Amino acid sequence: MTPVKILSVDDSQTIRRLIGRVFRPFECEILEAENGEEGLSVIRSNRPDLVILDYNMPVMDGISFLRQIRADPDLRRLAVIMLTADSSPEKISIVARLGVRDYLIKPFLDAELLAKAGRLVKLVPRVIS
Amino acid sequence: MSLSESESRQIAESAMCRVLQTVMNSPVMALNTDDSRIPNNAIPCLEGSTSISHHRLLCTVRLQVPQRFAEMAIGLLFDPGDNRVSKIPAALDFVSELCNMVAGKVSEFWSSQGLICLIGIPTVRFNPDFKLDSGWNMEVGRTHWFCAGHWLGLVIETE
Repeated sequence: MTPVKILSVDDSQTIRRLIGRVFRPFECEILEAENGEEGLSVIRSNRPDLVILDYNMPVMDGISFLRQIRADPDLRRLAVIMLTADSSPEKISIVARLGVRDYLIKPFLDAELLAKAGRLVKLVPRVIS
Repeated sequence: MSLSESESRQIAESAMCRVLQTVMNSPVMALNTDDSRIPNNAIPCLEGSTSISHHRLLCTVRLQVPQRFAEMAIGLLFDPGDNRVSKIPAALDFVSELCNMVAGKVSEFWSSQGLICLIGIPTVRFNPDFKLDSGWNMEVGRTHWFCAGHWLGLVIETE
């Protein structure tokens, strides 16, 4: 079975490692990018099933990243969960218009992230032999 | 636009409790300025700083974290076998993200006042001689905290 590919786009290595830890019990391949530009490059070469995206990043922020993938016919249906410290309703409304499927505020509980991701991709428990 | 001391304390309390209890899974205690348990020796500290801005407001959030607290947190959060980064860059990144989360919670207060703010990207600096008791009462908006065996400081300044 092909493992689900999840891409974490966040300038914080702490968050990327936390995401890796959350999904470790599942058959997932975790991909990482430090900003939107790097994220676009990873998407084009690895075709993830789900992107967990930060809002505020250097080089290319989450909004610019979303605009780019929504403008690309090959990528426009890609599932994205926004994971950010910024909880203002205006920002949530902006990203919702850009097709973000869900929004999670930092700090987050593992169970919250798994519940949201599990609605978008099939998470299969990893069998330890 | 500025905050009164009690508003600042209330916002700090809400932000620190929500962030640290979730990240560290540990209770957080606010301390009074004259608490005799506060150590007066210098401790190596990491100081994260970020801005929250609006055309009517500039707010700075500074989070002061002992280096040993950051290293302990990394040890708790991640596998000991995860050796992708060395301890110090990981501690700097952890404090940067903690500061970002606290700023996010402080920004919620401004959002509730109708001010939709931009949160900056945090910077972190190392302060080898940080003393918790120096300048204790001199800095407006400064609060102190105890979490998982360590003392932490938070300064919220507004202009």
